[in-house]
Amino acid sequence: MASSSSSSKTGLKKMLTLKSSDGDEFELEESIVIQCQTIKHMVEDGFSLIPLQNVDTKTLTKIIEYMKKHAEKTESNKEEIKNFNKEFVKGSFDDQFELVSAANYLHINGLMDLLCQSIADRINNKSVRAVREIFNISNDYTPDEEEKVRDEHKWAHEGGEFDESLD
Amino acid sequence: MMAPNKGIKHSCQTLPPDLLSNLPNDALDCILVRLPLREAVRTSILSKKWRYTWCRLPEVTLDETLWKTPDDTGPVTKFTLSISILVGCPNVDNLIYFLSRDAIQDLVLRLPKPEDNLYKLPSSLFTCLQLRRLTLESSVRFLCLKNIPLLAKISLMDDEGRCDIVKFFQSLSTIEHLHLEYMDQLKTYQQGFPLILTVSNIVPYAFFLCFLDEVLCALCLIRSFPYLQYLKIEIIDVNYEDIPALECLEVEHFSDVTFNHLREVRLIMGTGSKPEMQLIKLLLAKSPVLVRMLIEAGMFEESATVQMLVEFLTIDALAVCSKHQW
Repeated sequence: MASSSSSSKTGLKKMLTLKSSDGDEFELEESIVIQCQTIKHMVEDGFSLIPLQNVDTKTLTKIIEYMKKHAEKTESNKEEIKNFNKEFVKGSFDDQFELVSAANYLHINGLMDLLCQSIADRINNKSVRAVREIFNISNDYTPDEEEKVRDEHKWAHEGGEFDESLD
Repeated sequence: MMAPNKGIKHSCQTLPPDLLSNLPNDALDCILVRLPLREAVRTSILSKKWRYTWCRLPEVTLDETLWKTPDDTGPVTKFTLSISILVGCPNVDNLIYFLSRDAIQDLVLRLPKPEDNLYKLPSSLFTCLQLRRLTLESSVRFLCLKNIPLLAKISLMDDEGRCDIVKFFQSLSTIEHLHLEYMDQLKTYQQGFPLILTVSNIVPYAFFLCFLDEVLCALCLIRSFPYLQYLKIEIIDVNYEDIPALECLEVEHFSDVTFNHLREVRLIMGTGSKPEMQLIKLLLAKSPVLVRMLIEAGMFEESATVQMLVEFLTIDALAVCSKHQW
């Protein structure tokens, strides 16, 4: 594996420290952390203590949990990872959106895929009313304006049964 | 694992206002890109902030959800794809493949100008068994239509002029209706325009040529289609000093050609220059069954038109129906 090449040379696993915006420090193996593109670039620039000013401890803990699990990924534990992912996106909205922002900032592509897909699934085929309610989006269109926007892309809003449930 | 979310589901109180809308743009794009296009478009009526969010989509995926309604699960027979802002053509190949499996009959591709690489149409296009009409407004590298058995009408507009026109003509077999526009590269084939197009297997009864800026080009092409029934030529920017064209347009040069099927001609004139006049004369002389010739003024003045018409009416006894428009 590519990630083991540096450690096999030294015989020691290279460690990195991540520091959350709350000041908490987490020591991790480099091979785990390089899933995150932002950190990978910093490591390449020679950093070993990485301050993450946009990520609080709670979110960073979750992200580390994700990265550790995904660093274990092999051909044989696909099912396990799948179940892990399923559980991972079950958090509250607050947590999920924190995670999206952090994953976006840190450029963890796999996590970004997972979270965005989960949010997209909650929007897909839902009625506009349901989406507004689920995500607490307040409608600031006047009825006339809304009608006008609807008319702009009539084809998209017509001809289908949309799901009114708030799941 | 996660702390349970306090037993309260989606209650407004647990949510700071509108976390979703407040995500950074690139994160929102990541979410929208995972929705079918129709779903992404529907987000425009969520709130003002969402109105144009979907327009930023960096990738567009089109699938059957776009046009399928519960009542109508029939195949897509007509499809128009018009893209003007994308630099590349991502997913167009997949789309064409998708349509080719279906019974696509009428396909319009309006693709953006390529920056460097010419768009290479996927091979699936060339095997659309049901395709009858193809409109291509794009600069493409290669067009081979010989395996599209039903193709009857083709419009080609290639102002970059990089399509291999010889190969293109060679591949036409069942074509009935040909429309060429902005085909600058036709100029390259002036004198030696390959009459490889053996005439016998091409029977276009309607043939449009637009904006050819050399009458000669028009002529070389017309020579290749002796079974032509309807012809429309729009000429712009004629070179007055086009001496070779003048010679070439002499009736004697066409002793071997007769447009025995040409019934109707519509000419949109450029400047009323000599080569254009020659072309008209030639068409009149070589088209025994011509019933109608419509001449429309392009850029030249009324007096010139009238003069021109007088000239025609004296040179030929053919029934010439002429009309000019301004």
